[in-house]
Amino acid sequence: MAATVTPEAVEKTVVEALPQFGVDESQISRDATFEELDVDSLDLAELSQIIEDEYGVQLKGDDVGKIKTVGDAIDLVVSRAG
Amino acid sequence: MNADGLAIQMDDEAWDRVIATNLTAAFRLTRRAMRPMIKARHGRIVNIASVVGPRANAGQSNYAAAKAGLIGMTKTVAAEVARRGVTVNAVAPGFIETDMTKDIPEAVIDAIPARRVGAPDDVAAAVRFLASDDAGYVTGTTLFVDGGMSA
Repeated sequence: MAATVTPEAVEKTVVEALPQFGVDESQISRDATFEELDVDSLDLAELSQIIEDEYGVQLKGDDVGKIKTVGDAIDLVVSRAG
Repeated sequence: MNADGLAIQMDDEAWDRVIATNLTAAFRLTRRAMRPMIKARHGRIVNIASVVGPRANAGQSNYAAAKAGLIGMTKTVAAEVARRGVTVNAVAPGFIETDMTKDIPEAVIDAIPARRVGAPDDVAAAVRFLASDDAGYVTGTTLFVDGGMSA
């Protein structure tokens, strides 16, 4: 059963997932870009997978290509769930 | 799987069927298999290619395209996932004793430097190596098991 999508829940999932890609937790904010965080395309693909497993929201390669910041990622998941 | 014929006489169905079985199926399986491997930060994918593809074999343009494509896919996927501890390699057998090769003419065998066809165990040994911990730094490569055919 997929978890309910709320901005807070998705933010928590993202913030908890990023350190496994080597991101320093203190650097994570909604405005931080994935480029600054050194999160690459494979990391984003893996993050998409974590989100899909948790919320049942599927993010396509095209979608993921457009997001720049942590906030963009959270907003995208929330909008796709709606 | 093969459906041989000269390219000039090959119909779309024979082309599509061989590409679907030997290339598209491998891609879809790879895509699915990678997920847990990436998550685990460890994995081994070994695709079975062929000596046909890297080299010509008249009558098998579809099969050669699929197997050459498989080698190309192996290299690129290897580069994409190497930093997650997942290796992706191919084994390219030459003529191996199977139903597909039981009617090989003597002249073909004479053209193999080893002067014999290979055994399934020869292929298995190569796959076993690429799947082992010893091969952790080997990725994106194609290991030919062909009695020297492509040498």
